[in-house]
Amino acid sequence: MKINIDQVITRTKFRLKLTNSTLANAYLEKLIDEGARHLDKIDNYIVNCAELDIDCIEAKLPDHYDELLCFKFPGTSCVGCCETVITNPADGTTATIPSGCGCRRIFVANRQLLTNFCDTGVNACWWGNTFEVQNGMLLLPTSTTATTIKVWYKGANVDDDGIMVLDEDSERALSAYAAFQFAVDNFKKYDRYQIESWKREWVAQKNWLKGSAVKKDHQLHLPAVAAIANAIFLDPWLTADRNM
Amino acid sequence: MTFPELRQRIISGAVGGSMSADVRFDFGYIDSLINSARATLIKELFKEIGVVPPVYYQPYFPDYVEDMQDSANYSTFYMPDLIPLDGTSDGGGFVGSITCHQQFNQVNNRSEFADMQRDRIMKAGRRAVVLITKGRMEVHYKNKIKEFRMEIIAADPLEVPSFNLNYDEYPIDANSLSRLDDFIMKIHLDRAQNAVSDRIANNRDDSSRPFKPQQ
Repeated sequence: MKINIDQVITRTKFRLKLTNSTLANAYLEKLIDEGARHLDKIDNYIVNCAELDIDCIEAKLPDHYDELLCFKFPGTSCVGCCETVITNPADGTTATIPSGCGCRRIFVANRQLLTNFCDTGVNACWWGNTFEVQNGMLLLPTSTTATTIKVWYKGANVDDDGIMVLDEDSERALSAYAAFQFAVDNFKKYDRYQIESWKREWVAQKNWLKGSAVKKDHQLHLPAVAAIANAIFLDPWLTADRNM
Repeated sequence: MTFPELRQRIISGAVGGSMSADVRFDFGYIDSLINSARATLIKELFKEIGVVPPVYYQPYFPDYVEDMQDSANYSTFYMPDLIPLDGTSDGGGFVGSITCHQQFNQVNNRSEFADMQRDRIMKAGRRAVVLITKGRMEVHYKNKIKEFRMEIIAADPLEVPSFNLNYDEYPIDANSLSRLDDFIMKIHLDRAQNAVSDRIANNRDDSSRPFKPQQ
């Protein structure tokens, strides 16, 4: 279940005995958001989609962007694609795959990779384009004429204000982190035992959360892994076809 | 206990129950003694138990006065002085919407407020930030806020506009009344009562001489 950051602020204020004032609220919110990022859980990152404006062949990626997955120029559709029918020599079955379309442009994230591509002698570089991501900007080929681009990217799981979306499971860990950091900053008010216990709680909870996230992720992807394994070992020829 | 009752209690204690017209026990002096003694008690209590009991808080609904507004970006209000408790708490308790569903962030100096504006998370706009300075309060938000409520521990409870001197209970708990008496009597009034005043207007220090009214 997802929770609001206010819930964690409240819990932290109870720990720190600061419920009679809102003086520390802003700083606690900052610490909690920082803690959520430091959790570094697998599900801290989610797939997002955004339509970006292109100016001078550059598009500004969202602030919480982490990794580019793919992009598409709006309005490009796969028209007039050719279909190739291939026959399985083993059992004579056929499969139809789209190939050789003029609209199928391949974008390569790295110029050197494209060069290496050409060096293999496959003569594929004529339909390749390169792009770069630098300083949060997506740099497109100079031939780009589109004014917008739709991107799918992995980014931090944040709300509209850029604040991390929090899991209920992480409430205890994050409030311990914020309490520990706040108490270190105000060490005269809190005793060492308290500060140390919050620190230990944060470390223990963080490890537990990271472990749980990996376990959940594994369970989530288990069918996909099984499907790939089945495809490779049980019907390798068709698998190869679909990946041509 | 209303404030006039409390005031009378202190004066009566100081003069042994009899009424006096002595200027050393005038209302302004006694009122300031009561308020400063209350502030000291609150600080001691906070140090002892880490919180201030709710009886010390007063509701405050700031009035939006058009003539006070000096900027289009924030709202300005009158603010009674608060009692500072420590570096992380002060007399500003709850600050937020009338229904109490939304809390505003409080900040007590402009330098800290300016620092907060440079931070993506702490800056005003996402949440309302209340900047409290001497006698004045600014509410910074994406739009102008004209109505909100506070629960405050005012340095002088009589300065809170909603406080009715004759009818409202003075914000102090019953347990602390005797400590308040002791504090005022031992530290201030004993000293004031025992000091011999120079009542002869002759440009000389006559405080060591007995006062003999002129015939």
